[in-house]
Amino acid sequence: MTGPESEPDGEPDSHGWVLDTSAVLAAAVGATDHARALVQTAVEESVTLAVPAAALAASWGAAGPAGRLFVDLLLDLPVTAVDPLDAPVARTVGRVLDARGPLDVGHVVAVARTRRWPVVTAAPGFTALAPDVEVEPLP
Amino acid sequence: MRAERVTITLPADDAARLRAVVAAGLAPSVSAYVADAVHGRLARDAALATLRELWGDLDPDALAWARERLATRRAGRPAA
Repeated sequence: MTGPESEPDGEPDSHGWVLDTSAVLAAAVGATDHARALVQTAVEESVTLAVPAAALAASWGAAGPAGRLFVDLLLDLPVTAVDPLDAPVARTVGRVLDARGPLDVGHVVAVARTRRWPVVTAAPGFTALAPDVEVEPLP
Repeated sequence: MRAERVTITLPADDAARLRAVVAAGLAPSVSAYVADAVHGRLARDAALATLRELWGDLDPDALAWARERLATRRAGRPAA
């Protein structure tokens, strides 16, 4: 599996979070402040937020016009890195899913394993697919 | 990109460490290092201003939670 396409500051960060679809949506829609607080803290502390491309696609589709403005805002932050879904990564995602789950979840798991970062999520049930992946559940 | 000469003052210890970084080949020059640091700080401050403008003041409890989670990560402790 290839690494992420780019780092916001050009160097890997030993601490970061991977945002899954539910976390991106939580920050965009703002049902509670926790996802937004995590994003703001990441910017304050220069912590990378990795957004797998498949999670970006899924959240973009679900966010609606108003929510998409905030998804764009998230993407424009200096700490956000979109992890691409290219051919090598797609094979890894396919192995993760093994025909058992949605594409965005598989990509999130693959990115979390590569980066060795926890997944921020409002839907922690997805870990049944990958119990080895650390989760940061949104309250 | 147009560049402008600016004179700045640094703590002596920082200046010495910065020269050592450049001497070790970890940065192309003192100017490049400082310019990169300033660029990053400006980008961060602009992003925070945008977030605060659009999101307003976030729930202090939510911010405290996020900062605690980051501190936990940095301390290498497992998730609670």
